[in-house]
Amino acid sequence: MDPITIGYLGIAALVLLVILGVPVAFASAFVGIVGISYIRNPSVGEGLAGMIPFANSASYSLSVLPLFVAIGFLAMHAGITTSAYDAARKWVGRAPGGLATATIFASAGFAAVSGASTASTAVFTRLALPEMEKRGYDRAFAAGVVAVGGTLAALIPPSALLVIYGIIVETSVAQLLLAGFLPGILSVVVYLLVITVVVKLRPGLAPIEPAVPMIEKIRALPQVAGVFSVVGVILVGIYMGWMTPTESAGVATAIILLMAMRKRMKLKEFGHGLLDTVQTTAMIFMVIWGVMVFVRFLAFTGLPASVADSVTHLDVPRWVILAAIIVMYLLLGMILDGLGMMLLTLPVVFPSIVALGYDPVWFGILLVKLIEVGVVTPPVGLNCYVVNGIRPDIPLESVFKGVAPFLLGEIVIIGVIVAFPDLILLLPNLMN
Amino acid sequence: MQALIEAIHKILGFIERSFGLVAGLVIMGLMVVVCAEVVGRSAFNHPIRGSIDIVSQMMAIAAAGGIPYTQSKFGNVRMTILTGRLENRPRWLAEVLTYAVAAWAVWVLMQGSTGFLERAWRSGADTAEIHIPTWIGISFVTVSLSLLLARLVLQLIESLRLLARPRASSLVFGITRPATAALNADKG
Repeated sequence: MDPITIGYLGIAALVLLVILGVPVAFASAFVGIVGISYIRNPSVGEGLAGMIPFANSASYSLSVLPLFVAIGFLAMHAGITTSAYDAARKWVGRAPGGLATATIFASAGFAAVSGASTASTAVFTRLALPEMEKRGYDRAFAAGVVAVGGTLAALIPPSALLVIYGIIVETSVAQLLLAGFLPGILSVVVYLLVITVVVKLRPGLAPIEPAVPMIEKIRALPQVAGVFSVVGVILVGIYMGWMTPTESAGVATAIILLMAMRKRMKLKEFGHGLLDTVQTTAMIFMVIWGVMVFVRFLAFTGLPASVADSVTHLDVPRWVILAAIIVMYLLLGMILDGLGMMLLTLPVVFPSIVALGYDPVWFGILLVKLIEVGVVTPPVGLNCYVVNGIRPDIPLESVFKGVAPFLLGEIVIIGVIVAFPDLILLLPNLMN
Repeated sequence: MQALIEAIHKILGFIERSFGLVAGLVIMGLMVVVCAEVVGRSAFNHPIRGSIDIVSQMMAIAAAGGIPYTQSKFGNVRMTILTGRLENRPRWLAEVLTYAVAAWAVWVLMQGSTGFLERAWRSGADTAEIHIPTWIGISFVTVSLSLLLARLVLQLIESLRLLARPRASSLVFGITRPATAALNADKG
């Protein structure tokens, strides 16, 4: 059997195991080890696989990941998220769909201290959803806002997904983090527009909030200073070249920890924050290790280079291939978890993207946006499951229904990312 | 059998949590080292010698320390769209497959990591700048993989037990049922 056929069989076996419920990390390591052992011999398989966990963790560039994860969990356990929501509610509560708008703003604020969209969704399901219900908001609409707001965490720095992408495809993490900022802001603007249009069309979905005195609004601002500090340290530190992404993450973690201590975070909450951080970090690294074993196997088969070669020789314009890749990711996003989907497809897709002449940083932003659309679309939409998991009284169908208007907005955002790559690359290019 | 599994689950859980907390404290240590580097470099024009070596070796502990704890909390990404709909024996059959595949893969990773550790120990491999021996980090990764393997084997054994008695309660999987109801269901 030729190696490329073995590569295709390996991919088929991996998809089968993942569908059967084997965690992505273990399924990819299993297929990778069996594949390398078959192509070479079992001792090569064991030797190569055994080096991967240490080699793919003992690295300076990877140290940004646990620190980014820590920022989010410490902020959450210290109640900084609650302060952000409170401030947003006071400032924009009077706008059409005021509490929904506040939720999007606060989600953007949380995104600036957290890189995980499911964590953000979980926080605002507990925090913002009951508030919106109390004020008579339509439950499906409110649940949709919370689920969609969570996706901002993947684009607005610090983003764990962008860091992982950068490490896997060996592209500058600093440039990726900067590039994520403008599409993140664009997403906020589009979501706010969607809320405004939906509420104007159906005012019954979201009653208007009572006015808040200016003095109260101003008093709420210092509570969100930490959030702005973290954004400032990460963006300015990296942009000006003062700090590496790891250093900016370390300083931002220290700021959040100091704020947490000022808010008298209890030792027990600190312990919970640490264990949550460790759990998310370990989950990410397990997937990276497993997929790296699988990537080694694919490299032995020569499949990625062969696919890239075939794709570049297709007699169609390159945008057609890009459109096919976008559709593939949107479909995969409906059934696969974002992290697993990204890591499993990149070894084959990325060489083709580079061969077609697309910018790796721009593609990283597009890919993360596509993944985030996947987390709010049925049947697997992870963020919607998080809402339903925390609030079983809100059926999954209602959450998906609430998300539906935002999907039109997502199409607009993807269109802008595809049509204006220079806009996406503005900050990284200015940094250069 | 069930009592033995539960006892091992509790002991393993304590070790996993301790490893997790060590990893968490190491992450805080990472924060301290990089902040010290930034302050030392920018305020005193005196960067910490070997900070990159220190951070990279700490990362081995930060990344690997939590893997057994994460598996004990079923925190690894998996797709349950199909298996989530299964109940009783079909569900536990799928779980047996999952843990058998996972345990075998982790066993090979652990064997390979042990070989890697032996080579690093024999060759005296160390980091580039301040020569930290790499066997320290590799041994932590190997021990974490061993603990992960122990957890997966325990989950495999528990899945096999539940395959035989699908309505029994299980501390490992967090399934609690009234003893009499489970007994009656099994008889039925």
